[in-house]
Order: sequence, then structure tokens, then C-alpha cells
Amino acid sequence: MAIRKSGDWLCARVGDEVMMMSASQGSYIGLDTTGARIWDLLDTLADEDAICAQLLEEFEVGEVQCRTEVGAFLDELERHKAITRDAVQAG
Amino acid sequence: MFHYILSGLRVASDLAMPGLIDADPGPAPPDVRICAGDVPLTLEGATHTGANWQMAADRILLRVPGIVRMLIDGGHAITWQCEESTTPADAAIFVFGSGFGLLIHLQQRCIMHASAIAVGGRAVLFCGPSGAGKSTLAAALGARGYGHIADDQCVLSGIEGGEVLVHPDGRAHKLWEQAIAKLDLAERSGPPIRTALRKFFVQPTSGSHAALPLAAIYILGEARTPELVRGERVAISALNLADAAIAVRLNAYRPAMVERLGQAGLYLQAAAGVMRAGGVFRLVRPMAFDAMDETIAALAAHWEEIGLAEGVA
Amino acid sequence: MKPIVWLASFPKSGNTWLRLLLANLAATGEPCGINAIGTARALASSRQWFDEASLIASGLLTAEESDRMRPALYRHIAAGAADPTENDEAGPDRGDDPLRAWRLVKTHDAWTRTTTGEPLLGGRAAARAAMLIVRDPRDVVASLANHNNSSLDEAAALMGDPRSALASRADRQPLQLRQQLLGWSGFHASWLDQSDVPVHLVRYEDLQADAPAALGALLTALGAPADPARLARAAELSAFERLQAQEAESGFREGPVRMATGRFFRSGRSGGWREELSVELRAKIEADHSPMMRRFGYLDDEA
Repeated sequence: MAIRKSGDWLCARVGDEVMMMSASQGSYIGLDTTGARIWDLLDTLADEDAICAQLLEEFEVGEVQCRTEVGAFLDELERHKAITRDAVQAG
Repeated sequence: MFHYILSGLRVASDLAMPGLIDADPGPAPPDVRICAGDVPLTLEGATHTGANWQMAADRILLRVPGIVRMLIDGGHAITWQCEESTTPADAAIFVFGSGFGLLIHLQQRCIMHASAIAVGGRAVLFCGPSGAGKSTLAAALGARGYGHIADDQCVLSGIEGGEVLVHPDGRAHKLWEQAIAKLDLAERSGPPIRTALRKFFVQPTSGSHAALPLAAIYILGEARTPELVRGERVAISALNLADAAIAVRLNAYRPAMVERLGQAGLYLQAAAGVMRAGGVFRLVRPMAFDAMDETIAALAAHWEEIGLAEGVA
Repeated sequence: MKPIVWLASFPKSGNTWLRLLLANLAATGEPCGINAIGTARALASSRQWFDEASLIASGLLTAEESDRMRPALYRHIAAGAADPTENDEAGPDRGDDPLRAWRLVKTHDAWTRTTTGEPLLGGRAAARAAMLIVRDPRDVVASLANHNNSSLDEAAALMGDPRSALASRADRQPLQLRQQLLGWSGFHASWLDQSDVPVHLVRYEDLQADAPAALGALLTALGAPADPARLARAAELSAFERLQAQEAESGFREGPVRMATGRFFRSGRSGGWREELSVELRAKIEADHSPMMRRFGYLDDEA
């Protein structure tokens, strides 16, 4: 699935974390260190597998846990309409 | 002309305002000019209107019926005209309060509806709507030796990533007669803010005339039946990133102006700056004078906990 | 354009209960909580709303000066001039609300005029109608004493004082704008005898006896559909037992901080005064208010 950022989200950094706002949604989200890193990775990576691979290199985390948490985080972003996931196979 | 430093700006005014920080005129032109003049009743090309105000591009026409009306122009000038039999002295607080606060909004700078005191050389802000007890809490802390910074408006600068600074809004508290009596401040009490009001300028024990780095923001709430049922009298809790961003925006000097002037991004940046500097907290306490000692003790303990040096600025 | 419908009452006459009933008209499953109905915009005397709408700090105005500004502010919100920051207080889940065409705004203000001669509440240009909730003053007095943590005699004195007002202390900034009550009789006379806004009378006792019927009459007066099943459900969701259970659990945000018995919803019954009032106090209230009590049918069955 190809993941793309969507909406009019503005971001502001607080250390390793990120504060986000969408004027059109009228909503605010806070991202912790890992969430903020995934949000950054979404600028260059559009694929859940690639994001997990990158995180496994950067963080001390098991693969199963990493996949579960990335999946849940992306679901949350999708629920806030901060990303879209197309059913098209990437690559 | 009178010359003041207000919220970090050099102001030249033909309208005197007690309780402000006096400044030397200096050779450079002032940042803001406040002058008497003819003020129209309507503003051409208004894009937003209220019952008593109109906004067009970077100008706001604001009317306090029967008292004063003013034109706030481009973030650098306010023209004022008294209505009916109101004297300039009785109108000044509206020009320097609402008028100046809206001018800061028009300048696209961040202004919080807050009082502020100095703790260990840094600024602690108390936010909340009118009547939340901002001035009273700041004055009670002032009476215990914490330096006065602001009574009603706090302009934040340096939010783009540098050190966030809080600019003083004057050198006096503005307190109601009841608060003056309960806080035992009668000896420091000065003239009334308006002739018909039992609200007075009160001289603080000490204060800062310079901007200080921000330490923390507290959003004031009242412990009411739900909290009291749970047995919580004074409670301080940290807001998470999203709640802090919302709180900063909702406690702008005039929150609806943030939307009207497209400043949501600016206040998001400000909230991030505040979180980097120390954080946003919710302070819930009973709104009774007999709970003031308890509230201040809880704050002092919290300042120690978040690493703010104990003591007087 | 979204005109105001005033929900007007003397304090402790069932205003909160009526607002809850009205809110529950649109509830689909869970009852509307007592802390969810009172937003700042839904209260005529809200200082926060005044300051935000006028861009002026009402705390710098005398009561007469802020009163002078209030009519235009109410007319402005009723006209619904485009303001992107004003969210519909009903919220997104209330598309099915039979009252969605109106702004329901609570007020304890008597119908008075400002120093410039305008109706304080903005007259006909601000409001389509008013629902006046009235309750037997012999029941109000005990509830008021409990609310104010005062004696019954003090509460009766306030009700008999034509200059009585809420939030009127000038040595501090009360949380709300000043509200002139004019005493219990004066309050009701002011609303019933004005001709600017049509008044629909809702007797607390009728609401108590048959809430769906009283609610239905109110909706009909507004020209809104009154579906019997919906009325019955709203009444059921708002029953007093539920309110008291909710309050014991979470407390009621609009209640005063200290109360003699610790409850805002003190007693939902009508005619409770028979157990609580002394003969002298009952006589005083009847002497102070008999013409108005007769007007509402509160004295007819007592002879």
C-alpha cells in the first residue's frame, strides 16, 4: 500500500516530539519520539515495510513489536485524515 | 507626549495611562503612536463585523458605546475619540487594554491573556478568562516577594526557535477592592482604574521592567463540585502536546482573532516554544481567598519539582 | 439567521431541568449529561461570551455600561453574521434536533430596559420567543436558601425585594454579568407584561406532572414537530433519579461551590413546601406575591 501524507497539517517541533494541527479538521495531535520519526520518514518512504526496516535500524525494538506499533500508529494517522493509504502495490 | 515601554514596544501617546513603565523618548521614532483624533463610526471594506467593532485588512474600529471609540491602524497607531461626556482619563484603560491588545494581534505577534510573575529570574504565566483570578493570584504571589511582570497581557517573542521571552505590560497590579482588602494591600493601593470602578492600581513590591525568559504557563481552573467530590482541592497537572497547543490558542488575548487573522500556525509555534521552555500546566484550586496559602504552597512545590529556582527574581 | 429563544426563569425554578429535557430531545442513545448542556454561549449573562463578542473586557464597565452594550450583542448573534469561529453549540451529532433552527439561551435577567431605553435582551430583533419557566414561590424559597447557603428568611427577603439582582457586587468581578431579578413577582411581571417577545409559560408543576405533555406544548408553541415517542424518551432520560445519580458521581459544574446539602438538584418534587415551610414564612410569601401567584394558579386551591 502506498502511504501519502494528506490534509493541511502544520507541525511544530518540541525536542524529539512534534505538535501538529489541521485547521480544516479543527484538530490537534501530539507525536512522541517514534511517532515524530515515522512522520519524518513518510516524506521519503511510502511503504510500511520500508518504514519498519528503517526503524529497526534506528531503535532497539523487536520486529513483531515494531510492526504492530507502526501499524497502529498509521491507523491512528489515517483516522485523523493525516495520511491516505492507496490499495495500489508499491514497486 | 507620554512615553512608555509596553509589551516590548516603545509607545508615544497623548493619552496618559497610570501604571505603565515610563521610557525616554530617544531619537528613534516610536513603534506605536496613540493620538486623539476624529474616529469614524464605520470602516469601509469591513470583512468581519461585531456588534461594536469592524475589521478591514489590518485595521480595526472598536467602539465602547458612550465611552470611547478607536481606530487601530496597521499595528502601529491608535486614534481615539471620547464619546458623550467621558473624560480621556476614564477612557484610557480601553485604549491601552483592548486597543493595544488588538494592535498586537494585528502585528501578527503572540499575545496571551495572562498575568505573570518572576520566579528565579524567569517568567511564570497564569492564563484564564476574565474572572478566573489571574490578577489576584499574581498579586498574592507578589506580596510574597515574587516580582511583578504582567497583569493582563503577555506578549511572547522568540517563539520561532530561540529563547521565548515574556514582555511586561506595566508596573502595577489592577485589583478589585475586595482583593485589596483580603490580600492586605491597602497601603500599596493607588487611584481607581476608572472613576466609577472599585478596581485600583496597586504598586507591586518588586517587578521586572525587562523581558524575562518563559518558564511555564498555568491555565487556571476552579475546583468545583466534581473536583471537591473527589477530595481534590489544589491539583496541578501537565498538559500533553495536543492539549497544550489547544490551551495556548484558546488563551490568546482575544482567541477569536487568531482565526480571523489566520494566526493558528503562529500560536502553534508559540505552543511549541512554550513546551520547549517548560510546559503548560492546569492549576485547579478553590476560588476562595482562604485557599490562597494552599494554592501558593502547591505552586512553590511544583516549581521546585520542575527545577525552577526557589526565591525572588 | 438563527434567532434566540430565551429560556427565562427566576433562579431555582427548573431552568436547568428544562434545558436538559430540550437537549435530550435530540439524544439518540445515552442521555445528555448535565455538564454537557451549559456552554458559555448558551447563557445570556456569560462574561466570557460578552468579552469575546465585544472585544471589550466587561470587567472594566459598570453594570449599566455593559447593559447598554448587551442588546446589540444579542441582535448580532441572532442575525448570525458570518463568523467562522462560532461553532454551532448544538454540535455535529444533533442534526435530528427538532429545535435546531433556534438558539436556546438561558437567562435569569428580568425583562428590563437599558439607560438608553432599549430592551436589555435586544427585543424582537434578537429573539423569536421566550419560554418562561415558573415555579410555586413556596417551593422556590427552600431551594433558593439551599442554593445560596442562606436562611429561609433571607431567601424570602430576596424574593420580596424589587431591587434584587444576581452578580451585582461592585467590589469584585462576579463570574457573570449583573442580572436584575426585581424580586419574584417583579421578575414574572416584567416578562409577562412586555410586548416585544411572545412568551410561552411553562409551569414547573406541569412539567413535573406530565413532562411529555408540557414539552409538547412548548414545541407546538415554537412551531416545531412534537413527536410523542421522542417527547417520552426525553422525559425518561431526564428523570430526577438520573440527575441525582449523575451529580453524586461527577458533580454539577453550574452548582455553587458550597451548598447546605451538597446538591444542586435538591428536590424534584412539587409542593415540598408543605413539609418545610413555617406558617409565618408561608404567610409572608403569600402576602408578598399573592397577585402573581393567583395569576399562575398557585393560590386557587388553597382557600
